[in-house]
Amino acid sequence: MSERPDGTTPPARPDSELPDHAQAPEWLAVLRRFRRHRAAVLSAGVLVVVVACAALADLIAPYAATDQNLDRILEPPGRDFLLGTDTLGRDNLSRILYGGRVSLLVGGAVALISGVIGTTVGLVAGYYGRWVDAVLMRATDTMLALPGLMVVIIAARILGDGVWDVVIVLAGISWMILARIVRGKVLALREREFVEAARALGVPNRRIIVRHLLPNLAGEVMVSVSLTVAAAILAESTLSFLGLGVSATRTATWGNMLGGNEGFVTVAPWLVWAPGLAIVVTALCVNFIGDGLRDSLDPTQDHR
Amino acid sequence: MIRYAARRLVVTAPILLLISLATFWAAGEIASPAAQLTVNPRISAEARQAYIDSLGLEDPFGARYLTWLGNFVTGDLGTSLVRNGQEVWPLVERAMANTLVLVGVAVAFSVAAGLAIGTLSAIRQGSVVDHGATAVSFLGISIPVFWLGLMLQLFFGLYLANWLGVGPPLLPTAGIYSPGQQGFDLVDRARHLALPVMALSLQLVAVYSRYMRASMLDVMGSDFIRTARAKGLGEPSVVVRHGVRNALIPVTTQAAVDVGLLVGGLIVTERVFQYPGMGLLFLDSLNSGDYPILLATVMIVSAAVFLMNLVADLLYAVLDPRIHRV
Repeated sequence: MSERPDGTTPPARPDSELPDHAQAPEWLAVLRRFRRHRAAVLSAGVLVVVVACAALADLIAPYAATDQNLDRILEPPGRDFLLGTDTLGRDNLSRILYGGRVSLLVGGAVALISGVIGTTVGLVAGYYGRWVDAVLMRATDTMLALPGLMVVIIAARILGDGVWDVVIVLAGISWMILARIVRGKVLALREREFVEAARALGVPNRRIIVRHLLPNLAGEVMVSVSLTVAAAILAESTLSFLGLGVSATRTATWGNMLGGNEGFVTVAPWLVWAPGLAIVVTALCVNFIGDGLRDSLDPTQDHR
Repeated sequence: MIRYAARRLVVTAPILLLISLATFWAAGEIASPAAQLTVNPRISAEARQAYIDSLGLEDPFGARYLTWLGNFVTGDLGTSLVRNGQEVWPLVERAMANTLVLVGVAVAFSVAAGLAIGTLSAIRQGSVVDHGATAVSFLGISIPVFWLGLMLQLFFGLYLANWLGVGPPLLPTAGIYSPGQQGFDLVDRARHLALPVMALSLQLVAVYSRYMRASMLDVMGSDFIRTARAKGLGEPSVVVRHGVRNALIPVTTQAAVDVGLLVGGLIVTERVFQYPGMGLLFLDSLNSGDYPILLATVMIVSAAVFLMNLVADLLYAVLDPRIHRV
């Protein structure tokens, strides 16, 4: 897409003046550009609050997630229960705080695991080329051409309803786009002088990949991973809504709170809009951060 | 070009076979038809065994797969295990028709809205319109489709009617016809389509408008646009005939590749609005262990999505002659 082979070098300094391997984004400049991206900075702030609330649920939640008040079921939001109660008289707010732990954990874990898979597949395919590339990319394309949610539903049904079952299922279907991006970038990088020099010096392939290629991919991987966090949180909630996510009998998640309470949408709307808002706010923040990151890693933004 | 298409088709056939194999295996893992019979206490052990033998359910996996595949490609989808032995094909056919209506309307609307919004944001980059469109598209990719559906039901089914005084809900929130409706009625059908289409479209509009915006910005910066302006063409003509036309090329493929996303939204939308299409049929068969229907829906949908991806590839090659000229 970009005329520049790797799109990360500030054009102000010609390539020849730089040591050729120092192509990784300059993190201070990236940070400076990120700070100018107001929506992303605001989102980062909100996300920190969301994560802190989930992490500190033990301290700030007014009730335990499992405390039942059977004489006060389906109570609308009020003084005792800020976001109302559910069918078992459990405090909605507390359950959202605790549920956030699982939802955020699933989002983060899926993003990290699929990030590792995607980067590895893309690197190996791009660097080794030939039949390795053909096989891996054919597999990647095939998986991309599957109806994702359908596959996820079937896999979740076969695997089970634990947190890690859901993580594995979602990670297994989230890595392909990153793999394609990484491969494309590696194809360009491996023709560069610093890689050829390393190869001529007899540096082993694995070391070239880890020391010379990987650092140059950091930007693309970070953007993709952050966007995957949002997609995974949405996918987890969708699976839970369909009764296939993390089991509600094990632990509350934003998704299974919605799935279990769908029938009460007219009687107790707070049970549906409150966890839903938690999902939307979190996903929105992560998406804005991902977008800000993408812009900050693009040096042409300096000249706007 | 024709050689390229032929080559892609040849590569596609084995992959479709692989998908069918995986589908057959997975469906067996989820809903073993033999296990279904075991659940019913009124069937005696002998009768069950006789039935299992007659259907060849204990044959080796490979044999069962080949039998099923043979039946499938010749159009024999079997009979439902749960729905009183109804034939699968008429059920699937009706569901497909309903789904195609929903998809057709939603995609037509989303494409039109997405392209318009994307074009407008690109030519007015940084304007209020652009920022508004950006905000909406970020919302679109951050709201789970099912939750949007629930909120639409809540709003149109309950709140709006309450605010306007007591009256019937403004729009029906489930099904495709009002209870008691006999035969086809365009108005009733359209009213039942409104909410599912809204729920399904937000995400699509968000994605399409982002693609269009990016593509349009790319195109409007290119030399031939400057040439068009330099030769004195009016701005509308430059934007539409030279800008939009070329910007559509990458958008077409990306939109076609996103059919997987569309199917996901469809399953969820149909479930929320109890819309009797392929997605709902798939979920119902999954939950009731209706093996033949499960197999048929998964296989048909995967094949359709896969072929759409192939079409996208070919379309790209047709639309952009710079590719594959070699």
